[in-house]
Amino acid sequence: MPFVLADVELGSRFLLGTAGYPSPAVLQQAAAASGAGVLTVSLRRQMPGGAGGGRFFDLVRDTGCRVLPNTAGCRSLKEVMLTASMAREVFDTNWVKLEIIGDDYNLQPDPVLLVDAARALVGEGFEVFAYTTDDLVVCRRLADVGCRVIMPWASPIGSGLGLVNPYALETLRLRLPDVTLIVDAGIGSPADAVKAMQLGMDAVLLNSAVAKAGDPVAMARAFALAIEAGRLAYEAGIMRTHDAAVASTPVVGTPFWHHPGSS
Amino acid sequence: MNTEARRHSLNIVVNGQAVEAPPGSLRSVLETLGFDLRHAAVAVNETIVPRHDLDGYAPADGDRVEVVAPMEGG
Repeated sequence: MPFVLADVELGSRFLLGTAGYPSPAVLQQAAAASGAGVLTVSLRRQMPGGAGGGRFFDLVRDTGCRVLPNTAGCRSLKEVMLTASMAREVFDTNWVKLEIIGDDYNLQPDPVLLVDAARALVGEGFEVFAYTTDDLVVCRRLADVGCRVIMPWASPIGSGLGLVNPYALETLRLRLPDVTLIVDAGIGSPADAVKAMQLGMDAVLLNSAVAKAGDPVAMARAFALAIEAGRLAYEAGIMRTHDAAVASTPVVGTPFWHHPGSS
Repeated sequence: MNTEARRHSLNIVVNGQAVEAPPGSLRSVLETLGFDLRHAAVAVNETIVPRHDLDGYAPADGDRVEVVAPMEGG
């Protein structure tokens, strides 16, 4: 079944970050290997006399992927609004990954500012992809102010800790069935991605797990397979667990020598 | 405009650096300073100046200008 993200049909449920690769060439190859339909990007101050980001812009454009600009580094509503507006100008998209950090240690999103900023951005015509903690009520408030896509963390950005609270993600799926849920941040290995997808997440966004792998291109492919496998498993319906063993071999017609008392 | 005013050079802050440039449109000022505006976005005093307004916008002394470019991000 195709994946529809904010009205756009995509062939993959994998969104890939573009930061921290060993080289632009590796990024390009990893993006291709991932099959991702969306790449996250950012903005920085331009240095006079420099390339002006043109090379990176061309690299991303040549992948054919859609871009999702982020508001990384923003700590106030004012900064978010300006960054989002500038990103819209540079990348010619109304998509924005809303990111407002509330703590330096774990780079945890500020839930209060997040909801205010989401409301303001939606009001300005942005399609807001809200990066948030896995708090159900915050996510509900984000949906209430118009976020169709909500991106709960699995664990802190770049930690690779994986899913520290699967219960919370499962609850989000249960309580927000109509919201597109993308696990963003904290994924360490393809096993984490499988798990997230099996919980019913619609997609996975990650960066460091690929960029910091020994072989980022191979890891991008590994994640692509994992995300697809996890989704297939979710759709197929995973068997219920039991505390006790349940024999898989039928017991009807068991030969006589298996019966108690037989000699 | 008198001759003295025409000679006046513009003192603005661009990306946090105080700079001096000949007066003109925002585009000409920034290009004179060496910025490549093809993929850039520009804000003056924390308000975005859309690409199509760069030629018509004249920065004034004391303006704080931000020029941003695409970069990698997660």
